Amino acid sequence: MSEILSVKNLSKKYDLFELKNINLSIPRGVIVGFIGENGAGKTTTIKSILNMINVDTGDIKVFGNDYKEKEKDIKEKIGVVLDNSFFSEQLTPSDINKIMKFLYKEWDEKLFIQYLNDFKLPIEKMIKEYSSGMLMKLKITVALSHHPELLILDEPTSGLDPIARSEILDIFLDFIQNENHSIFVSSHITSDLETVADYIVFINKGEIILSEEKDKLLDDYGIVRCTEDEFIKIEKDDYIKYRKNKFDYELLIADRNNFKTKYDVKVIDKPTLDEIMLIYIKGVK
Amino acid sequence: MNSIKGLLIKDLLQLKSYKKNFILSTLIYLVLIILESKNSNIGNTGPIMIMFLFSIYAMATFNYDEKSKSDRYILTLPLTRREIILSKYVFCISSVLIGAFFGTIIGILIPYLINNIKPNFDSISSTLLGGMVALSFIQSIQIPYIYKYGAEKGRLQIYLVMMVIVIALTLIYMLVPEIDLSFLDIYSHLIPIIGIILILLNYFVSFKISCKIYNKKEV
Repeated sequence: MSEILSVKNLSKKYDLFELKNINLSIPRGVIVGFIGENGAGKTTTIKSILNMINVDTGDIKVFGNDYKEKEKDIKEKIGVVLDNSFFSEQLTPSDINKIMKFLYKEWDEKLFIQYLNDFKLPIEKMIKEYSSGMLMKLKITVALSHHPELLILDEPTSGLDPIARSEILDIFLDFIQNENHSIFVSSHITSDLETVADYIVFINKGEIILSEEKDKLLDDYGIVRCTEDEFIKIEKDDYIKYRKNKFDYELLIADRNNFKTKYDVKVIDKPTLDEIMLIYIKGVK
Repeated sequence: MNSIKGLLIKDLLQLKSYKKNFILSTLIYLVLIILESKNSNIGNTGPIMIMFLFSIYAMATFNYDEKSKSDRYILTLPLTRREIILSKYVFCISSVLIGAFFGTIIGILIPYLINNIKPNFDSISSTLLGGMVALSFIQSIQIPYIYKYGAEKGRLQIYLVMMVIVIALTLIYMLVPEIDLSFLDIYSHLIPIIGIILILLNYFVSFKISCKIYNKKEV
């Protein structure tokens, strides 16, 4: 599989926050979920990937190209949804169509109108009159209507009800049917990513601490729940991190089957991404 | 060029919600111009007022961009930062030119209709040129300021800068003894050329400064 996006040794320092040596590689044909708590560095990473901020160090290549040489060509083929930024709310989808026709070489007016109809988005209604679900669908519609190859989405499902979220996830799955397409999607609603993502990249305090296939995470990783006596017997190398709760210990392990053969522990659960995140952030080694 | 056209359309469409305000303020200006025309032989301030009005509305697009954070979104579109800035300058300069066009029509029509005065083209053109130089100066300071500090934050600072300039000019006028400038009369035919050069220079320097600021800006 060829690489659609590659980030090498990306660093960016602010007064109170720092992105530290970020490395990412996104192949074609996959959905990569980018998780982490608020303020972990998800949006800063996305802004760096989109050349919206000047990075201190690092090499970013999209479709094998560098922004310095081919910024416009790269952005022609990316569809972007940002969490809290879009066109002025005084505009209507019809206005956006008029604008985008001039901005994208590949803008497909027919496709745009088809998406609007499919999502039941009124074309002449001002954005300010749209609900948050409708607005997100409109943002995604705009991002899809110039035939992009890569979608970069910052929190596309936040603040939406389950039905709207499910509809949006369906759009992603539909988009990824084309094996040349990829999606890089940040979200702190990890259950959405459990549904659609192929890979999970986990960022914490400006550092990527985990990058793994989702199926491996959910099928191989495990949460061991044990007593203090049981915990003492477990070797440090056999777990990633642990949390001490009021009545038991929770350990995050990378290989459930291996662990079962080695230790006689009664409860080893399949983890959710939330639990993995929680133990990584709150746990200790 | 198409990219810039797209951004110009965006700015124009954003202003449609100002339509009522714009019509109302134009009508108020018209009344003021008519009243002025009754007391003087030419509606001299008319063209300038109209140019200023158009310029104010053009500058308001910066507020819209900032409020909706579309300035951030625009950076994700296939545009260079230079094109984004260029489109703003084209929009603001166009607002002055369109304002000048309508201002000229008003400057000709109203004195003729009210006082049956034939147009004094010399007077109108010198008024227009003066207004355009003044507006180019104001916009040339305002636009880089907005790129540096944002439309909201920059607004107060720009007023303060303008106030300092006006006070400084007034003080110079009051403190410096009257100078006989009649020797300059022989160069009067050069005034339009000097005016146009000043306008171009203002915008050119301002554009370069804006590019420098915006290239470093992180939105």
